[in-house]
Amino acid sequence: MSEANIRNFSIIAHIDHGKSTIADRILELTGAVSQREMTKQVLDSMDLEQERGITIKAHAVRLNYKATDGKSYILNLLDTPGHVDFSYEVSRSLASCEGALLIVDASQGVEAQTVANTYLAVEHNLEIIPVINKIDLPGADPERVQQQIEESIGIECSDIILASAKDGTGITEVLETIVKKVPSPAGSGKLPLKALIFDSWYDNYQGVIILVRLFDGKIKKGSKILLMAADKSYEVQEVGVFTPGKKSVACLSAGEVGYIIAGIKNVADTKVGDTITDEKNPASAPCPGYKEVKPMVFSGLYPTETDQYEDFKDALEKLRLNDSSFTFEPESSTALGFGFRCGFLGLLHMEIIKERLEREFQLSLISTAPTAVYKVVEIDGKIMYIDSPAKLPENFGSIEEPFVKTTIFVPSKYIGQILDLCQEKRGVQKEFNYIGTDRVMVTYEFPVNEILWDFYDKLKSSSSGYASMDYEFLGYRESKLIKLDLLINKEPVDALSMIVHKDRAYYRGRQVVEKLLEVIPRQLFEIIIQAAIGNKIIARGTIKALRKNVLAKCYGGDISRKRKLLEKQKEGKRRMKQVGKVEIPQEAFFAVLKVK
Amino acid sequence: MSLSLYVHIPFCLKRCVYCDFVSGIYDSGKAVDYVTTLKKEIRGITNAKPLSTLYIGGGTPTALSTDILSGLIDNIFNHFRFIDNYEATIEANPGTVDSDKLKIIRSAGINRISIGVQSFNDAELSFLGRIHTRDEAEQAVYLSREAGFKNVGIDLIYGLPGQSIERWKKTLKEALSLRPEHISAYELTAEKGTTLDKMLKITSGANNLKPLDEDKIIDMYNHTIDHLTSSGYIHYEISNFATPGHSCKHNLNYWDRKEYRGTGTGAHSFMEDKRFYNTAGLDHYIEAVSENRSPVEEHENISADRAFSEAIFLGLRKTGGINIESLSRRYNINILSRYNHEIEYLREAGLIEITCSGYSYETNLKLTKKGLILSNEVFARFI
Repeated sequence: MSEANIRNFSIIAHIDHGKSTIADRILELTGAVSQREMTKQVLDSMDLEQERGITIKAHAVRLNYKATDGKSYILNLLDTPGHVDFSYEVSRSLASCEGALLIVDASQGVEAQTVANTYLAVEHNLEIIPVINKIDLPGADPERVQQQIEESIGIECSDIILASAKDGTGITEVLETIVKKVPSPAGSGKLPLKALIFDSWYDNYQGVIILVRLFDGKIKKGSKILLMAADKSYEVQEVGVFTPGKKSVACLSAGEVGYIIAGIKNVADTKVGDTITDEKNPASAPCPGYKEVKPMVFSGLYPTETDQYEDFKDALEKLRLNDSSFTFEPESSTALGFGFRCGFLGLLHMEIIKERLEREFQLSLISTAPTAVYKVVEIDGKIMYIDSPAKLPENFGSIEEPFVKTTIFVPSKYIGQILDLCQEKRGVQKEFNYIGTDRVMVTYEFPVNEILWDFYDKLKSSSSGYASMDYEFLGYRESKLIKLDLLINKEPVDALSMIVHKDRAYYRGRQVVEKLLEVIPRQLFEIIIQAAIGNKIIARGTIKALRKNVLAKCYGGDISRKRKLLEKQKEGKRRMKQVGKVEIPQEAFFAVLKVK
Repeated sequence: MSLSLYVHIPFCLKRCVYCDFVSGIYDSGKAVDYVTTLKKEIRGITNAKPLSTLYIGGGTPTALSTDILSGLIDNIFNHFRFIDNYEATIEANPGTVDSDKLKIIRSAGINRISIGVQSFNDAELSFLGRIHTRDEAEQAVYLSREAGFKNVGIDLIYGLPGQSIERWKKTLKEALSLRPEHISAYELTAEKGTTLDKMLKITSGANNLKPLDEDKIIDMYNHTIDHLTSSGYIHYEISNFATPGHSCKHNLNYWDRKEYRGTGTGAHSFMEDKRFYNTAGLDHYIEAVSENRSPVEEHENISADRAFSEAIFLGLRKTGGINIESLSRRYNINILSRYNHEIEYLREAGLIEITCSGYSYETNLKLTKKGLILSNEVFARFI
């Protein structure tokens, strides 16, 4: 089929605005999936994705569509992760398309993430097709939402599509508009091969499977390819497309989207954003925009039982075959023993990795409080980056912390609470705008450290769930930061140390001690908890020894019930980490972040 | 070899606020049907082994009429042989006994009575939802003696909301003045779903109830141990005391992890390394047994590891502890090597001790006084 009949598009939507259901309807309408085969959310195949209703991995599906103009088209739907943690992946998917559907919920309206991703799409010169979804819902207000889209994103919406993925309204119109408005791919099959990697994953049987968009040239079985940034060469074993089932084809050529298998063993060699070209006849320049994604958030992961260390190491290595965006290096803690310092793209990414490790590899893990990467200028002027409070030297010249620019969308009636929250988190307001009459968009600059843990939860709870946010990295700025240590029974627990702003150290110290008193259960002896800056104790509290835990009555023969009670108690202990003689629950390691 | 038999009577005149046992309100018609069924279930058990202990509990067994009760006891004594020094206990509520009833029970073969006194303070009795007064409780003990019971036990409860240690001391003193052979002193616990639990969960209102301070409960417990042991009682289990030779054999059988057979609604059995229990529903039970079906609701096989854990947490309830040699002989596991780490930890924390008798080779593992009241912390480490 000629390039003129190909349309490559992706879908931009806030979580729960119906991206997956619209994708499902499109798959159904084009006959890619029959109604019978339709499980909800075909594209989110990982258990975690379906449970959480989020997309973690990108997908690309080739659809055949016979338009009302009588011609047949190939539509390539690129489904991308929606969360800000994966914004680089999103940008590469968008770079692989010529158009994007912008889906907005008819009652919820525009959210921060939608705006951020739409701007990204506009930057890549994509044709944006706005769609208002869920118009069948009682609270739907398409006119208001249309106005919001015009004002906040600045795109013209006179022929906006009103749809309901639930009952199928507007889906044909969506497909027709894609055919009419999205430009066909511009490249040429005659030029040297140039293909952009927008995702890759590891398959136990076939090795790495790479998702690519071809801009120029052709690729087929036997082609000798070069990955330009990785500077590695391979021979192609198979090329194909997803329909949505995996189907090999003889050849992929300019304008097309598909997969490549080339006997690659490690996803670290197939980085998202890299360009694939012909080894003998390379493209003159790679696709623009390649960058190495760097983890933003670091946390120590430790097995609760020390004999799981080797299994844990194996699990990390296996999982990394599948996800090259997280990093790990061995770390040892006097409190927690041997574990790994792991780097993640963001908090959601961290949660996903931890959950997959526990679920897919049957591990029980303790994670320390997530932290940003700090830039420390040593006394001799040398610069070091530290991803753990434990690595902060005793004396240093200055310290810088990463800042992000955060955009928040919120209905105006909640704006008071949101501004208070931002203030509390050392935010500096940069912009304040009304969108329509009832929504506000505020922009703040925050230290990453402050919004790492509960900021998003608090944002949601102080706005009845209506506020949304997005952020982008700004760079490092000097701050007055110091290390706050926590001591349990006079012994510093390295895994509880944290880097805090000097002006808040006393307050934080007291708060964390309070929180630890709350979450550490009483034990057989008294536990003293202290917060210290250097040698100076700034807060102290005591957990009294447990004095009584007894079943007064044990007769009547129901021994199983008593045993089950004891088993439950034992299981509670198993989930805790023993530090010295003290058993510490997971919540304690997060306590440092759970305070204001 | 002999057998221990438990017989459950699921009727009471009134439910006490703290009770979570299988029991309903007494109804004479239901009671007749139930006991008829119960007799049938008992007759169905093989009588190859003689009974060493029998325990008729509830509920309130003495809520049954004298005729029905004596019919049930006769039925048991006709079906089973008993060993010479058997122990046959009945639980009694002071509000449901009279001289005749007690005499008939005694002469039918029951030789031990466990009286649910709970308190010698009328206000406390009324709070607990008991149907009797302190005077009636005292009377019940006298009448039991008169009826010929040489082994009388009294159940007491301490740790009531608002109870002072002085009030508890008074109850204990009055109990001692009756010189019972056996005293069980239980801490009041609010089991889930009981009226007491609900009462404690109401946190608003003028007379909202607060559970008694933990320190006071500990003082009461320690006072109980000190006072009773200095009055000639042996503290033989966490909550149980007896004069020499009068420890409850039936309950010791549970803690020694020996076999027992339970009959009646909700009754638990432990036979041939299997635990099983009857349905708790009265109608269900009657229906099953009368249709010659098993009233058993669930079976549980006990693995070797679980059996060992059970032996430890049951055995340690006895203040004498567990004999290390006989434990390893019975289960083929040496506790000192399997739980070396845990035992060291608990010894260091002062919760358990290993005692060696000077003139024999007996080595016992037992709870210390501190360990008794923290016993769940100890037990959980052997699970």
